[in-house]
Amino acid sequence: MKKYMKFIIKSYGAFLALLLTIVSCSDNFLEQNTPHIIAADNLYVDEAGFDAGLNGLYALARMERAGVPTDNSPSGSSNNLIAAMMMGGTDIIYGNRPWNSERFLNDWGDQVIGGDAQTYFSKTWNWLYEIINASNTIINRAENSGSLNIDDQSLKRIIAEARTIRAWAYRHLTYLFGDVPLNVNESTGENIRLDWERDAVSAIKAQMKEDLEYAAINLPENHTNNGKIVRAVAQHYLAELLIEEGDYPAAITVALATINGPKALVTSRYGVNSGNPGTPYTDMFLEGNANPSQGNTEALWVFQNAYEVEGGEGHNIMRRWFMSEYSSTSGGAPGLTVTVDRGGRGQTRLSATKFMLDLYDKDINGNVVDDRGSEFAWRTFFTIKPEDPSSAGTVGSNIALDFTPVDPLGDRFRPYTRKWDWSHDIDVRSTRSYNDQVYLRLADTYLLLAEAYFKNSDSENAAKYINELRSRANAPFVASGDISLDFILDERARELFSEEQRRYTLLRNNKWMERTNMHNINASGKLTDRDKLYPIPQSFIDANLDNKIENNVGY
Amino acid sequence: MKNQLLLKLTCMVFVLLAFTGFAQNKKITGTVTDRSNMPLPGVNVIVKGTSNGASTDFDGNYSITTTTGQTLVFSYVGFKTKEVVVGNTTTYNVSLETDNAQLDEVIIVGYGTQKRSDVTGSVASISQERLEEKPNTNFAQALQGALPGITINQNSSSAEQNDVSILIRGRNSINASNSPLIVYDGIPYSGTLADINPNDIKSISVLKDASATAIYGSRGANGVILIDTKKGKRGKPKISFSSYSGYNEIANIPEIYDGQGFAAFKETREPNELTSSEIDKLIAGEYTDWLDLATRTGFKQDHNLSVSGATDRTNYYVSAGYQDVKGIAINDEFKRGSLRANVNIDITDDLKFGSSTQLTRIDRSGLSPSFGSESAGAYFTNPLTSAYDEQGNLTVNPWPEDEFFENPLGPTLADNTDISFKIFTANFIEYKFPFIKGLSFRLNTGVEYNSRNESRYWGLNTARGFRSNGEARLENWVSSNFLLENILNYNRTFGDHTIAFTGLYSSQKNEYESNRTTGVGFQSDLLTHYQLEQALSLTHRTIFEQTTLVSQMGRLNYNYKSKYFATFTVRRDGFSGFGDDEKYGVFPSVALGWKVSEESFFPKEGIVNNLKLRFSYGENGNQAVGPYDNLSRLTDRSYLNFEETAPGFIPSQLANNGLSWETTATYNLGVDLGILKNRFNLSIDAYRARTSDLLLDRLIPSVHGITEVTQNIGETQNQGIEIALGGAIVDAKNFNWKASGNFSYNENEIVSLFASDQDDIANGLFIGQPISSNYGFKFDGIWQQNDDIANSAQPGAVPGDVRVLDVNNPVDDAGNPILGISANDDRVIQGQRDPKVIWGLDNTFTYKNVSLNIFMHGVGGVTKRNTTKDENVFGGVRRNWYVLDYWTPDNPINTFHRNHQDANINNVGFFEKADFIRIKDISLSYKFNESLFGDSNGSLKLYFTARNLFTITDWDGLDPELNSQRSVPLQKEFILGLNLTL
Repeated sequence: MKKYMKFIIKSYGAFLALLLTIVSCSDNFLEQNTPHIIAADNLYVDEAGFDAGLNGLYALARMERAGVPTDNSPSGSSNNLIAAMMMGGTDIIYGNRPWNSERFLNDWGDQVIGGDAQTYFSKTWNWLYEIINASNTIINRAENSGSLNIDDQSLKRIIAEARTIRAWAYRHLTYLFGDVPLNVNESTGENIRLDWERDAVSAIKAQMKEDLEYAAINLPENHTNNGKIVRAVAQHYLAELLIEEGDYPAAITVALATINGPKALVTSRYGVNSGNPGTPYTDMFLEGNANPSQGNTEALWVFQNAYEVEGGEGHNIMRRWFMSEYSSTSGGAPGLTVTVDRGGRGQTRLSATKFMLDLYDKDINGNVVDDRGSEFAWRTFFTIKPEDPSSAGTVGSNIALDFTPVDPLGDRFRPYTRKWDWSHDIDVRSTRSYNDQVYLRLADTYLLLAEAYFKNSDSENAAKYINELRSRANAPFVASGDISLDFILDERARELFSEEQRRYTLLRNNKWMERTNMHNINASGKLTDRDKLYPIPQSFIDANLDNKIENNVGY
Repeated sequence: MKNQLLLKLTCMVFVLLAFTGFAQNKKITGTVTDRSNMPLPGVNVIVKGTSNGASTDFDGNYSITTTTGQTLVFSYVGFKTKEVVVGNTTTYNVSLETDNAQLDEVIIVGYGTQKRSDVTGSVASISQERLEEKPNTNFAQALQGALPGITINQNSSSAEQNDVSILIRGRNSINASNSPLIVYDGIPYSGTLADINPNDIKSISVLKDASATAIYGSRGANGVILIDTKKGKRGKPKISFSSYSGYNEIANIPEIYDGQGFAAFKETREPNELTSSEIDKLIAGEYTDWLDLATRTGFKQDHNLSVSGATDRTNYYVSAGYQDVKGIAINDEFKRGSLRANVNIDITDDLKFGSSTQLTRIDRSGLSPSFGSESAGAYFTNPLTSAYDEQGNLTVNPWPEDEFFENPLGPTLADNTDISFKIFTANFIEYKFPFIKGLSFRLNTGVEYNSRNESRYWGLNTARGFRSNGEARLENWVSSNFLLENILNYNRTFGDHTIAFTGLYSSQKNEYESNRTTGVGFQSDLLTHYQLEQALSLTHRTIFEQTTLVSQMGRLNYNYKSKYFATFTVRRDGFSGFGDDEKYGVFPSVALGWKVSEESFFPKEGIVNNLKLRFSYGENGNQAVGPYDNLSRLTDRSYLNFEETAPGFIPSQLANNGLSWETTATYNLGVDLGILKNRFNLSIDAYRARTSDLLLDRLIPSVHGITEVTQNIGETQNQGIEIALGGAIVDAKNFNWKASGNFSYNENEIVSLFASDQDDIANGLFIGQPISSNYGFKFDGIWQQNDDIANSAQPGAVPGDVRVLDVNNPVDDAGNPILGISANDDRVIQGQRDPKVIWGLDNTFTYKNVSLNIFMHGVGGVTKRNTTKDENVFGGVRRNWYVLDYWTPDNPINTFHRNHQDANINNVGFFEKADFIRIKDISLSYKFNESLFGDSNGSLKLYFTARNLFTITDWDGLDPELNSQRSVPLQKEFILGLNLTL
């Protein structure tokens, strides 16, 4: 027994010593095991990693057509369409639902300071700086990636894509808020600053110009991925920037290079609906036609969406916001059944002003002759179907939308653009859209070119390029003598309604107050100089503890 | 159901009657005294194994009739029980020894046990009885109201009843978890409450002050709950069978409109808005009572069988348990099966091995109806709609004209299985070094492994499946926890000095992984989730977490003559989740105790016979940061390449190398009193705890592209007092009445927040106020017809509208007051959601074999928003609501607004007192005479328990304790059970 005990003591002692050694020697026991965590350090190590970073940028950029994200959620809400603050409250678009968050676009005054509008501004601001930080991270790391095995051309392409999107984000920021902090560095735990200052718009534009000039050389002319930006996108925004700076000859050169590049206007019928009545202009907006690979030669940048595909959720609510709520039984709507061919379900949040609806050329009988104002581009009537309630009318008869009054509020049966019609057949009442949508078209570049020529005192060439658009749309030609800044702005409305950031266009030409006062009765007389810029979000001012930020004048 | 129970109860009464009546033929008399020959009045004298008994009179004299050879049992509170065998004489004078059993009770204190009388920290423990005879699904329910300083809140009601929050001495943390650390058979436990079978628990101790919890270092700040399972006792094998079953009913639901009432309400509110299908239903008188359809009478059964015992070198406890609950919400079911084997073996005199192992299977299959959802809640759904179509199937959308609304019962059609398995095993070897007296080494290992698998399929007959053409989901969770502890113990008494030292070196690793695959778009519903590979689209999500902890701890207990006590501890923890610069933290504590009653100057014959003072100070941590919160991270923002996923990422989190634990420093002052020879025990503790380096999400300028970082900033404080009192109020021959009560009061306060010390209004945090403050406009009655509304702060109001308390009137630049209600000036703090006062009162009355236990529990100082009054029926009256008393010109009340959508446009909350007193449990039990089992030492007890029978409260909603007032209602439970030991 004694022997046995000794054996136990000995072997146990050895065992104990061994255990203590095991535990104490593992100094790296506290090292974090992160097989699943993606961080900048382990993502931006090869071309695929940088492309994943760029995909993140594209996914963010398409949120312009989503609602501002709700708290703590990456997804867009179905309220507060981000694009609304860039398009609405102008000569051509007003907020139809007076009690909703977008009412500030009609009422201005205190409504711009109120809670709903504040959310609009702060969330949009955060979204844009999120894009800028994501771009900075890619640019900084790609520029310092000497040790990585990425070929020079790819590296330049990566940097060019990120710089274009960074410039695009600063374009939004300067138009919305004026002077804003210029941040071109990746944010880290070590460089948190509480003393940001507002940099002058001119300084930001200098950075944008540098970025776009780089991209206009280093982006590819075409891309196999329909969702990616190409050289023409950088050129387009560069041309706009040059016009703003008053350098019209340079703007003309860049814009001409763009329209003479591989992209071309769509001038004939094509694609999924070409066997049915329609127009070349409206073909571009149909699902199945939007992308370059589907025959859309005019598309420069197409937002990609897909239903029930990871990465396909763009939270797009353009249809919800622009389409009439024809399924309602109030606000003058007849309570029609929601169907796929009617384009799904709308909410009538933003509507075209009466001025806009009357902009298209008509023949002597009063019928619109411009394809861009045709029944394929604008919904002006519905045909009653068997599935509609009997109260709506006789099956087969037409029921017209409410065209006549001037910009009524709460009217849910207002004519609307059909550019965003789309519904999937699984759930016709779905809030969001999952079609691919053209975001930037060569037609816009044509109009920039015309604007540059006109401002460079060359109405001849301005008319020439405008007439190429009018020709495509079967609208009567315009004479060079009829070209004026207002005509160009009208033409932009006809061509680009609900596509261009109308507010930016008007502000660039110092026409926002004048034309909005003149053509938008809901906002007329309520605008002040203050409203040319939105307020810097209070949440940013409050967090910037070490430097007090002065808000824009009047806020 | 009820009839069956009545039948069982009747049987019980007959059984009771059958066991009375015994032979009596010899009269015995005598006197009972204490050691100093003082007579003891009221001593119980019982003939062993019978109900034949007597008690001593004022002079300590007794008289009882029995037969030779029987045994007399003398028992008296505070004294050791004495047995005397009756021989030929008829006089037996007995002297009883004082008993310090209550004080000598051994309780678990973490890394060991201690005699209660030697404890210097604040430790509360509950007895095994509280865990038995009550229909508890988990141990937390047994703790509710039982111990001072511990707030157990039943957040929601369900079959599993697992949604319980546990707060010990208030809320320290704003963002981090406030849940205590649970240590199960010595192993820090990470599983759910439901995995532990309450029947296997022998004892629960709750460590509250810093000196008691400091041994758990960076995890001790929220208190520690220690749970030990049962062990075998020496003697022949003991077989125990316990079983109960019963039914559950809804305790309370505020009245909701039926079809007719709803139609009338709608017509008043918005005339001519009834849709044609609603009118059809109204005319036909076909109303749908959605809550009735969504609920049922619940049923619960629980059976446990255990065998335990001990031989010279081995003790064992083996048990099997099964619980099956059908909740009061339809389709809400919970089934638990568990097996346990506890074995301790003395391999040699110096070497010990022990194992405590548990296997649990839980089945939670089936989805409950929706109660509170905006578009499908049973509380809200229009009663003039159809639950079933003409074929008798549940409708997808019950209201043909309004497809926004889904059938609340829809989820019950989803195909759902949800099974968990758990393995928990704690094993140790302990070695006493033979050459150094008092020195021993113990190696503890703990392994916890949990796996849960769930599948769901929503077919086209559900709204969710309809939207996506069928949705299938497979999800699994695996978590594991490994612990290795090296413990060195040294216990030795040198003359008047007693020393106990514990040294620890340990490491622990926790891992968690979950995988979820969701598929949508299927050809048919036929193959449910088994057709996942045929889905139109599949998405996948993985979560992985791993944390490691390395610790060293030393504890020294010292006492001098069992009179003066001191405990010193220090623990050092290294945690993987902290920033690179802050991986390790050190947590010291000290506690002192003085048993005043052991001093020679202490009066021996006073009312107070035992007095101990305790003081402690210490620091503790709360490591509750996520495992990777210190790292820079990207988040997924994928895009598309044609219709294929193009993986995308954006930066989402900044690195924080300084991220660390929250530190709580606590002072505790306590006093323990034994009164009237320990017949009553009283403990009072006062404490102040200050938590600093609070983990707060701090806003940074959004120009960084990221708006928040988590940092260690801010401070909170809790201070309070806790009182526990218990004892035998009446202790007579055939009747005794034992009572115990506890009361605690806690004051919680935010001391500082960010660097600038500003209130954080966005998150409802205010310096100097409790963390759980309510903040908002204050209800100031109703605008009446004669009020001067035009010149008030609400000129747009209409008589019958809610009047907002106009708190501040700021002045404009010209010095004129600006009238009006604004969020900046008129929102105020309105009470707190955590209770300030909690109390519990337990009374047990025993008459012969019958025992009645009544347990009450209550909270005070709670204010909550009564959301049942946040009336919102949607424009066009599309939702049902509670029946409320509206203001009208003829009913000009000042408590609730007019029946109009705009009557409360400022969204003023109705904050109400949520204090309550609940008769939590009433148990009636009958214990059969032991003679029933002859010499076998068996016992049999039958009992009937009713839970949540009455609640006294001013609260108007569903229940003051539940978080949501639109959830599964609280249930009353009626249980009949038996405990049999052989």
